Amino acid sequence: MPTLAVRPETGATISPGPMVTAPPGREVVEDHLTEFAAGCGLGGPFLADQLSAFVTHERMGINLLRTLYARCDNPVLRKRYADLEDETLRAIEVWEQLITRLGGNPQYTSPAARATEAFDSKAIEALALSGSADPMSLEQAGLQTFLCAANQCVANVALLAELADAADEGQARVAMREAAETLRPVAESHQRWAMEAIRKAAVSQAKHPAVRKVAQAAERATDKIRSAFR
Amino acid sequence: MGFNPLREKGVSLDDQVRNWSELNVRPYDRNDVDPYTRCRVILMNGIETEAVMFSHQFNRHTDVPEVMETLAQIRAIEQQQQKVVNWLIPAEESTLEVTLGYEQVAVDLTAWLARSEPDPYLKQVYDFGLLEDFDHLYRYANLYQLIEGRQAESVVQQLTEVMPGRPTANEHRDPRDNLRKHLDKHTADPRSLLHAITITAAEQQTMNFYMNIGNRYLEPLARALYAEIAMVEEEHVTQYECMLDPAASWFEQLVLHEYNECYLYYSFAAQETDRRIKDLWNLHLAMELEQLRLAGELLKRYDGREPAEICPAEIPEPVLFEPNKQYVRDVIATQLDLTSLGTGFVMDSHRRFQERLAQVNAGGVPSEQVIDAHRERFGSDYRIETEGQHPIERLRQTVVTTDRR
Repeated sequence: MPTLAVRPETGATISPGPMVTAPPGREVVEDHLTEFAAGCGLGGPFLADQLSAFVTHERMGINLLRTLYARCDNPVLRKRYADLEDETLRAIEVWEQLITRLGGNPQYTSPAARATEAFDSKAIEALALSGSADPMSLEQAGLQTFLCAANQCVANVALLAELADAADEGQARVAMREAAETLRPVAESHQRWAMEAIRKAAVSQAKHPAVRKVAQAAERATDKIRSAFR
Repeated sequence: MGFNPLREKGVSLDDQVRNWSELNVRPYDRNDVDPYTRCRVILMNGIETEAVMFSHQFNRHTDVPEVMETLAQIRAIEQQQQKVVNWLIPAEESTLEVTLGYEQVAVDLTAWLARSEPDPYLKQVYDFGLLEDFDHLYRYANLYQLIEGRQAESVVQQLTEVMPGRPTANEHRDPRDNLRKHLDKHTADPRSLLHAITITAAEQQTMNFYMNIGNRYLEPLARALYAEIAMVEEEHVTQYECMLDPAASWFEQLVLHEYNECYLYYSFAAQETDRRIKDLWNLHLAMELEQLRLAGELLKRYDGREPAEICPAEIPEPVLFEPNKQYVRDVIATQLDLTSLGTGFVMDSHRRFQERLAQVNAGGVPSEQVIDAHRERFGSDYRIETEGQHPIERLRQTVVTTDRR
């Protein structure tokens, strides 16, 4: 089971940075990371920091998908979000296995990972400003948020492949290539699906205004039922 | 298995609403109240106030009706809880007596948190603030005898010593030097996480209290002393709120606030000696459990996370009000002359520290004047030194002999 929340009990460590404090035994300094992906000709500390950010992005993807699922009334879309969550869980496992194979700790949170987490967290939080959005707009905003996240996944995998190409021959290079090959098709399929879903919804609303009205009426009915049970 | 606020069942929100007579509780008796009961009341008032103000801030950052409705419902209950807790303080206690209670909270809460803090940097932050609040208690105790003719021992008893800490006159730093590093929510011990919320709320309450009641005395010296110490409380709120992880989302902060309230009511229900107030802590605990559950539902729906992913796996050891005399003395002996530079602590009286002191202390220092005035009238300053003379020789008590010819 992959880690969704890095915590003291999961073995969290951190490279604190100037404004962060960490308790004894949890602090990672650059010297601890020099052996990461040893022998591949790339800087271990930098590589460890990057991979920490990449796995963090996938973990935050789970949070995003869970909130999209919880707030979506479209059964088809809900089903798709549930499937995407399963696939993202698998992606986390792949990143964690890669970090372990390279001699690292998947529970390590780098400064880059904290930045990624902040960015992704704010993307999720942006959906808490949806009070004035009609249901279709909220659905579209959710898809757009997911597309942003999927774009970043694709970029992270592409960067991993580039780093593998830049590495010297050896086990680390093999591990990075294998992970990139496993992750790439899934990340790209998520990106394609999000773009297609946005396109379909937008075109159908543009061409058939009634679709929007029906959806709004359905949402109003759903909202009434939901309010009645609150 | 121990107490787990995430698994316990509370009182439904509908059953938490109280009528006016229930809010207007009978105050405790100032003559027989345990000083630490007063401390618990003062602290929980600050905790409930923080819960209300946090919820208001949150409300200004969302427009989702379901979220706003839940926040509004919980907030109204927190407001009622605050009234019940704060109305326990009797009108017979003067403003200065309540103030002495606030500073006793600041001393014995901060010392206990410092003793139990696993992160050395955060412990240093607590120790740093501790010596300053300890000194405030001493200054107010002297003002108390000057103005009301009574001794602070009638309020704090002999549970907390009263003597100089880091002189208040030397606590006025450049505002940039009150910033501190923050904990990291991934690696921080659950105690660090919760205690940072607690101390921030406590010091914020003290700051707000002085901001509002500092002008309630006629005597210029009293007004001046409150103004001076109120500015130090601003420094303390800054330093303590810095410790919180700014990466926590609104929903995450909401859940942690509620969890911390459960933790504190659970802690205080266990140690409360006043039967009626113990029942109140237990009632509020039951209320908070439901508020926590509702906050957790919001977290799941709007943050996509489970409360168990952000709350402590196990509730930490209960927060305890108890004497910390030897601990305070040890910190005084080793850290009295400490100041800060940026987020770090230094023994060096650096340039911008000196410049700030020169600016604010230019027209005289009320916290020194109050001691001078006490010495002039009573021949010495007022102290409670139950464990022997002051650990720093230059701060030991001297008796003034006044030439009355």
